Amino acid sequence: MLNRILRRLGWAVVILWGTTVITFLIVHAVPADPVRVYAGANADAETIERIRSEMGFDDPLVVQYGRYIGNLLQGDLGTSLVTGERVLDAILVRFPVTFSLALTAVFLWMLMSVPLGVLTAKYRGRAIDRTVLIVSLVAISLPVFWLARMLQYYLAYRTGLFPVGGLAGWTHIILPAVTLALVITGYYARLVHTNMVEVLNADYVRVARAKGIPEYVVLFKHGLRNAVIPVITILGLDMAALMGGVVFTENVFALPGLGVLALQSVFNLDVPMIMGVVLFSAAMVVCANIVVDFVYMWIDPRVEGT
Amino acid sequence: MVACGSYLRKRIYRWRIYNVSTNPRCGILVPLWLAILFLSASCGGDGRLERLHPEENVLRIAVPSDPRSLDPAIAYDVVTWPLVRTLFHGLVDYDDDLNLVPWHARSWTISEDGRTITFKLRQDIRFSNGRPITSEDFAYSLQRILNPAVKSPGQGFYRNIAGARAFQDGSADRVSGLRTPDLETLEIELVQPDLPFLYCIAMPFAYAVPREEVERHGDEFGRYPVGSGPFTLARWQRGTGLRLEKNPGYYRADDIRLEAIDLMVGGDETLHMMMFERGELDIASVTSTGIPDADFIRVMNDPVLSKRVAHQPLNAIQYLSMNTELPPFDNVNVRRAVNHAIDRKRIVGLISDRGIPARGVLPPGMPGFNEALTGYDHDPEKARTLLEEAGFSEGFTTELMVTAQSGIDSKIGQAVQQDLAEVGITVEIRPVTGPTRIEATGRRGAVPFATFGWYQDYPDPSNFLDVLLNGNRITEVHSTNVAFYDNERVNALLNEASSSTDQGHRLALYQEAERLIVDDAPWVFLYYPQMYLLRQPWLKGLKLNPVWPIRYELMWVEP
Repeated sequence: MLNRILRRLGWAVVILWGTTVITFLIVHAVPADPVRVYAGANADAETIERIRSEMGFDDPLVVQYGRYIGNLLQGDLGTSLVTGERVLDAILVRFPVTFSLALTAVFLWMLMSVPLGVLTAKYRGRAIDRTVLIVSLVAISLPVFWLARMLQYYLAYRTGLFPVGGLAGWTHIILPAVTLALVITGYYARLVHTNMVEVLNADYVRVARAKGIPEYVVLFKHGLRNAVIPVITILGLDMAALMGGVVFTENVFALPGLGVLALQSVFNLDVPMIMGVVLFSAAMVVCANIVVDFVYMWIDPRVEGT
Repeated sequence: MVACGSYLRKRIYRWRIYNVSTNPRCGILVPLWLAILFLSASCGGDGRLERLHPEENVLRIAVPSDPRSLDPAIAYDVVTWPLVRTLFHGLVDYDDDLNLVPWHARSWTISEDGRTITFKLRQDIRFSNGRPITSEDFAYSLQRILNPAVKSPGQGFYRNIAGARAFQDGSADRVSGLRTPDLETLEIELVQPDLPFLYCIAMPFAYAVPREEVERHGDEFGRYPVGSGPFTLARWQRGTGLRLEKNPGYYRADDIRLEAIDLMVGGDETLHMMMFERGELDIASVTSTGIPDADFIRVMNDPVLSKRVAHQPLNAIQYLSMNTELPPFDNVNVRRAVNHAIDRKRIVGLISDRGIPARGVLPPGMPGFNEALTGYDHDPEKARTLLEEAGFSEGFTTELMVTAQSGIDSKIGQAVQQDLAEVGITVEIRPVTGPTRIEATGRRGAVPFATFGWYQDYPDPSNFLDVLLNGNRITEVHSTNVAFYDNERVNALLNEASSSTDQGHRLALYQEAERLIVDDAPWVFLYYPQMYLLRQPWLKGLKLNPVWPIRYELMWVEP
């Protein structure tokens, strides 16, 4: 067990190190100049060169990377070129917003997709199954930013049921979370459905039914518990995809989270901030995967030995 | 009691059956999940900007992203400057006719040779920390811009101060040209006479900052600014918003009618427009474009909303730059042909008439604007003749670099593509990000044809003609002369004008230079943009001018 944890952590470090290398190279390969972005379009060449040397951008890339890693090992992610904020502070201030948004969305979509999945597996091929399938397909195909704008327009701007944007309380999280949840629910409902159908055909379910156990106990105890295991794995992997959706929803609803920070730092070519956000997101995905791994072992003791 | 107990037992029993007892590990997950959810949701959001319930006399506005810094030495954009102006103040300011008027300086004199400016300062103004402001604070603030460690984007405007270069290179520990004979006198000695230098002094870079506060906060001064303006920063929560409150110690506090300014950070112009229409914001958008593109026509046709629109021609120009060093644009007839081929009126129509078709470089609000300049009319026939003369009767193919995120750029791009196709020129549009475009176009010999916008730093022709079109300004990288236009006669006129101390003579020289430039056509002169602001009926005191389109300190909210 300990061995397994250590091995996972070792790989996590390798993955994060790889992330720094790739991000660093990509950010520096962009044919644009962060100093120029900082100094503004009106600045003259001399000003730009002076600021460049002050920021240390005139050193060779290897030296810059070495400096970055050196600082990183001391827990220093650097300072934003644009706002002068410490990168780690900027991330930590915004993380709770993104975290609540993501968690609310996960909660909502699990709340919707599990019953839908079970129901459609139970009534496979009937009208309700077909309807859910079609609605799911439509929902999966919707672009997040479009759906976000539509919900914002009809449920907030027109009717005033929700705040249109910004963050001044928990009600401001609902609409963005619903947006994310709607897009993903369809997918998870199908996932639960497929696993459920498979499980319901298993021998032990037939035995349980033969023993006369009530149908809902069969469905939820024998069926769902087994069907949900692969779903939890996918959920861990989906944390990465969720970050992508968060960028759009946060921007549409003006939530001060990591997604907005990521987008703005890219527009500003704020190198330390881009590196920091990417590294942090990578760390989150790695952590989510490790957590899922252990939750998985916990739910399904058969996994532990492998 | 008994019944209740047995009911509970039953419930617990059932719960055990279905969850906990059969599945102890899964059972804890749900409450744990809910607990985390609740905790994270309650510690997450901390907006605390009262947007839905307006406070009395508090201005509510929104911007897409945080100001990068409220440090006057660092801030350099049209959204942040009006905020810097509410927190700090400077030696001189503009009146509504763009004349310089005293502010902290009671008066100023310029020496015979034009190289020394002497300011006499007021003695009755204090920083918001209570300390009186003296000439030494202004000398310190100016020297600070030139300090390389501060990384001020405005340092180029002050390099003409004597000793600035030595200070920047580290061979002097102070700028010798900044002198304070006594606490109410500031002398600035220049390397060469420079009339527009007074405009540089009016720029926010040169506003007074208190040394003790700067040293206390170091690089974070832009986060915790302390100045002498009509407002002070009460709080700033990054990514969420900031609040400025009236400075009771301001020397003209009685003239300031707003109690506070609430600035929401985040969201795009579409969201801001929705919030405005729901009554949550007092101005729809305070960015340079004003009313969002998508809403503009609806707003202008709306009988109610259109009455709340204020507009102001900006001292700015939208142009296409043709790289005069790269074929085929090294041929003057090709550049003239392109100018004749493009229909400016149609382009202005595409942006809902939010611009004035350009006939030259200088916008109408700029001193030295030449009414008599005819520019290039839309004449495809003449364009074809000119192309033939240049040896391009078959036309040619070129690439126009535009900014990908800009709606205006894509409209211009398509219009240019169609217009030039009429005369046989094939244009391929190359959308790139803003930073990439700036980087590529400033590099010598790299980009033949690109869209550009220029917004003035100060209202003097030199800020357009000298900065953008003087051949002596060409550099291998980061050139601001993106057409790489180099005409000796024009350079000589511009250089003479820069060092002349006679304003009338200078303007005549600039007009002559502009006439030659228009004739050489290094740009396609497109249009001069206008700003449109949409305000709520209760917002008063919105006075626009080309230098300071937005002045929050003049506004108030009428209940």
